Amino acid sequence: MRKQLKQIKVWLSKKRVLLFVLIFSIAMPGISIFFLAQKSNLPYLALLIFIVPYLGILFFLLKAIDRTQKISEQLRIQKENYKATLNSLGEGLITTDKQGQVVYMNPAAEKLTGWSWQDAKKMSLKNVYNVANEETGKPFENIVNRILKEGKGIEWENNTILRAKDSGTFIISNNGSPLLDSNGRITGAVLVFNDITEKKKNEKKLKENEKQYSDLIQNLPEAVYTCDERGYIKIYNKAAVKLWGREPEAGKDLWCGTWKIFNTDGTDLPLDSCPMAICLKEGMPVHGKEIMVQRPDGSLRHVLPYPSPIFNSEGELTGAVNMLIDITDKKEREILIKRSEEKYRSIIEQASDAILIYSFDGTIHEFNKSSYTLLGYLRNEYAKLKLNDILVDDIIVNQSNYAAILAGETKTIYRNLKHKNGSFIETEVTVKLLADGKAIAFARDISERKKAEEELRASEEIRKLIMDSALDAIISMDTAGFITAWTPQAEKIFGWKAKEVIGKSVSEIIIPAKYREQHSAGIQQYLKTGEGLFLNRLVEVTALNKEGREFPVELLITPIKQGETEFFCSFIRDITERKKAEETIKKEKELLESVINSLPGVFYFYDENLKLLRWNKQLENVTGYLPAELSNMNPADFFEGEDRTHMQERSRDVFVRGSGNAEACFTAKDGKKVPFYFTGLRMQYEGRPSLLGIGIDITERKKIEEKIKKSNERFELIGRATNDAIWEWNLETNELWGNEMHQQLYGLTLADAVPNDEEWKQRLHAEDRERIVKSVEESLASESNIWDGEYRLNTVNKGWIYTFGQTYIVRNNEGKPVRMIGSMMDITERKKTEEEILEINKQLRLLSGHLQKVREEERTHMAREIHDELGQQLTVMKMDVSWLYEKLGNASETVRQRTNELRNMLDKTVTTVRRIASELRPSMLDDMGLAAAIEWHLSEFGKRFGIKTEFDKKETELLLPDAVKTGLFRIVQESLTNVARYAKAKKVTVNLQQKEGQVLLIIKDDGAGFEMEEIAAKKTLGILGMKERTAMMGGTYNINSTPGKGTMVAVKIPFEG
Amino acid sequence: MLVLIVDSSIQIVERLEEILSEAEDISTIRKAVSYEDAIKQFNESKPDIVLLDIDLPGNKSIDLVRQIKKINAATAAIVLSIRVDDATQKQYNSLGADFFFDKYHDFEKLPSVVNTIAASKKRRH
Repeated sequence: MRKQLKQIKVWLSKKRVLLFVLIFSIAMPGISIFFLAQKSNLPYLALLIFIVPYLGILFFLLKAIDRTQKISEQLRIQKENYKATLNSLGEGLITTDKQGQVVYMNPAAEKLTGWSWQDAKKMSLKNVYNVANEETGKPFENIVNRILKEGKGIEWENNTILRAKDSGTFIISNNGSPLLDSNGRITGAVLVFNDITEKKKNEKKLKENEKQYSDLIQNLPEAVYTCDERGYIKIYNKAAVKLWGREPEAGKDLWCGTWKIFNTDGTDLPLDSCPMAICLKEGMPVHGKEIMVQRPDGSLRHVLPYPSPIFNSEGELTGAVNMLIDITDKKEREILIKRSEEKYRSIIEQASDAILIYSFDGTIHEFNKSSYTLLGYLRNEYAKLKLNDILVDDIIVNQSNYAAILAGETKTIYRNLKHKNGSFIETEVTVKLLADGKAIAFARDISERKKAEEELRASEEIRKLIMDSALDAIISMDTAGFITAWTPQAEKIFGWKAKEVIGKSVSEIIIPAKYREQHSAGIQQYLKTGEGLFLNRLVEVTALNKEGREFPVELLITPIKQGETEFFCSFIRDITERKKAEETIKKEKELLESVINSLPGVFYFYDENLKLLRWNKQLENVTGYLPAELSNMNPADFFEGEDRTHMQERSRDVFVRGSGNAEACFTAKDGKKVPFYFTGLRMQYEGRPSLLGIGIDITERKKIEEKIKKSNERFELIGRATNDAIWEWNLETNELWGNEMHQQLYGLTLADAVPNDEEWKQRLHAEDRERIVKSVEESLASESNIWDGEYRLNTVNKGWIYTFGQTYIVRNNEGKPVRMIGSMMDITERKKTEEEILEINKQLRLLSGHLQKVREEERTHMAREIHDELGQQLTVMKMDVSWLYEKLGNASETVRQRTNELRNMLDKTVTTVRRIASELRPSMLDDMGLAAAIEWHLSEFGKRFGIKTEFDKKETELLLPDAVKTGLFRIVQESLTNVARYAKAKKVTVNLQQKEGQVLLIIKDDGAGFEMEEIAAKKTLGILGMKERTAMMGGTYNINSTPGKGTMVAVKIPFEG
Repeated sequence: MLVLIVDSSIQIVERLEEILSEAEDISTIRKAVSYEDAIKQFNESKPDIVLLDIDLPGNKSIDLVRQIKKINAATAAIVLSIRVDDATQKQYNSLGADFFFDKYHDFEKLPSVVNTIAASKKRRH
């Protein structure tokens, strides 16, 4: 259309040139001929020459006027048409003259600029069309001047705002071109512009939507990632990268983005057996298996993975989503909680919130570092202050809040506090009553937050002002469906040049074949009824471009009546990109939906008014509420009792701190309680802070924790109940534990550190250390689970004590020791007693040896006395009796007989005396040695008891010490007595030999034998005596017997002959 | 024949003297009750036969046999013992004792033994 306008201008300028040429062509020849004629005196000729061309010219002139009139008529009609077109055009249009003064404005331009054409006419364009840069606010240079100067069209958009006369500011897109006459000379400029506020707004919103969804995944406070069905990692969020400590490599990393994973007991977990891999393998969610992941820097994290499979609408497995709950911090925190009060206090001290404990009379009892640094005081200055000194108004708490606090509510109040320098600090104060009637207050400086909120609000307003609109293509067609106008934008969108399509059927050019019939039917219906389905409203249809490609457009068709003529004006906008964006958003939304619904835990977010905005299916499943019920529920309604207050506090914390976590039991609609672990994150949703939370069912974990707790308690109680010193050493973490008795054993208290391995070694007695340490190391290196040993330990209070230690070594699957649990017993008393007993035994043995010796000496003496003295005297008696007998001569037979009997009696007496003496102590033993004595004794024994004897001696004579000689002989003697008394033997063999540094004596019989157990049970002093004798000689005594197979005694005495 | 009787018990010595008096070839009987006495008498009288008890105090009987045999191997040594085990007998035999008798049981044999010795000595002369 702009081209057509230009044609009008050229045509108008052409008319002026024609007039000029006409006047010039008439005047110039006349004047020149007149001068010529004066010089040549040929006036007639001159007149003739002058008149002839003039007549010709006159003829042409008349002809031209006639044509001009025809053209003017055509022009008028065309002008009317264009005016109508321009009037209905949605875009603003202004034309100017060469000086940049407004010539024409269409109604749209009037509306946009706020100027009426009448008022603006002849005004300078820059006053009417007041444009500036959107961002800088700097006015643009005079656009018309630039167009006029450069002589070509210019186009700008996006960052241009138009300041209307009185109705505000629009963001516009526009272009301008010079107006040329038929000779190509610039006669003015034309500007076309459009309000794109809405477009800008839409674009912004689209971007925001898109961002919101990706933010949702990205901002999930826990690590979330997906894998495709083969296990390759596809989508993952920031939290996942943070947890893994690395970015996974696309198409390379399988199942888990971390380097290495372990079971909780420290053993390797192969990647293809990780919960994600199993979930994909089995197509089932895998819940509750705690693992450890190792980052490239070596650090370990405790993680609860919750992989769930994702299925498409056909029910095929397309991948899985995994959420990794990092419980390392929680584990660490649990340890922290166990620490002393001091640690707790230091945490309060370090808290960024100012924490105060005060009475309502204004006395401050306790405060932390933040409370005085916040207000610019030093600690000692602050300690002297009363509450009123730091409050801006003197009221400590107003009546209603006071009542609420006393009722046990936690109140959050906004108060201004007085800084030391006199300035005010805006704070958010949370107050809670303590059990002792004092109150604890947490104050937080919120001036920065307020400022940020203010800025946010301001920028929101600016955003609302941002407007935009696409430049539409405009196509006009007559009632027959032929194209009458085709704008450059239409050329751009459809690919057809105006000259190619003017006069052609719209239907063939831009409407896909399948809609053509519908199109013409629509026109026919309108022509008949004056009504059309597609008229005067924005519709989305499919259009066809030059290349034959179909694409979506937004279309507005306006029928225009111009006198008798009627035509349609279409405004067309290519919405391919928008459609694509919408499609992408839709897809992403669907993916997000499926991800969120596949999340194993509950997912929700709610705003500051505690209105639930969004949640997943799981929340419905777990709570048992219907979506309609949920949308009206306060998140606190899911909890009861302490959990309810706890979760309310934690929720507030998230809004204040940005994130947080908590454990609580979900109370479902049916009253069933399920323990959950929640993590929450504050995020902006539609410009308002809201809480994004996820929760994981921790029933299983709770059960295990409860079990562990119980078993720990039991262990602790056993440790307390037992009298034994018990300790535990975790070789992996080096953690040590010892019960009170253990500490007491060392002379320490529970408050002292449990002595570690090194200290234990140092406290070992130098004589025991090498032996004990070596034996412990051997036990650890072997597969054994038990070690025990006795050693001396240097204690703090009692010095050296004897200790009996027993240790149980816990090994992992690879047999590596991971824990040692042991007990220690102070056995000093026992050891002392043992030593005393040994000493007594030693002395007893010495005494016994001495007694034996004395006895032997006495026996020897007695044997000699009896044998020699008595023998001598009996010999004298015998000699005398014999003499008497000889001298009896003729004495009576009776006297002779009696004397003979006396002699016989003497003989018997001598025999008895000799036997007794020998038995007391064979003189042979001293005179002839052991072998001779045994040999003699055996033969005597054989003769006396009628038992066959055999003496097998390998050595003719041994120069044995007296004690040994005697000892061995007595053993032979006693053994033979036993044989005679119990064995019913036929034969006794004695063997005496020297062998390998010892004397070996064996006494063997072929008698009845006996049960060893019976002998052991009886107090057989005989055997005990022989054993004792052997022990005195430093040797060993063994007796072996089998019923029916005789008895054998073997004695070994060390002897280096 | 000259016989020297050595015994620590004077009662035994007297009785042995009485028993030996029955032997025919004995001219003189000398008596000693100790080792020293015996050596002295042996040197003085050069007896043909020494009748000695093994129980001289200080266990001197062994020495005495040895001395006798050393001084005059031709002297017959008759050992009378209250202990009659083989070992003691062998010990004295090895020293050169000509006879070993059980003092208690064998004193009655002495006269005939002395006679036998005297006879053999005569034959040598």
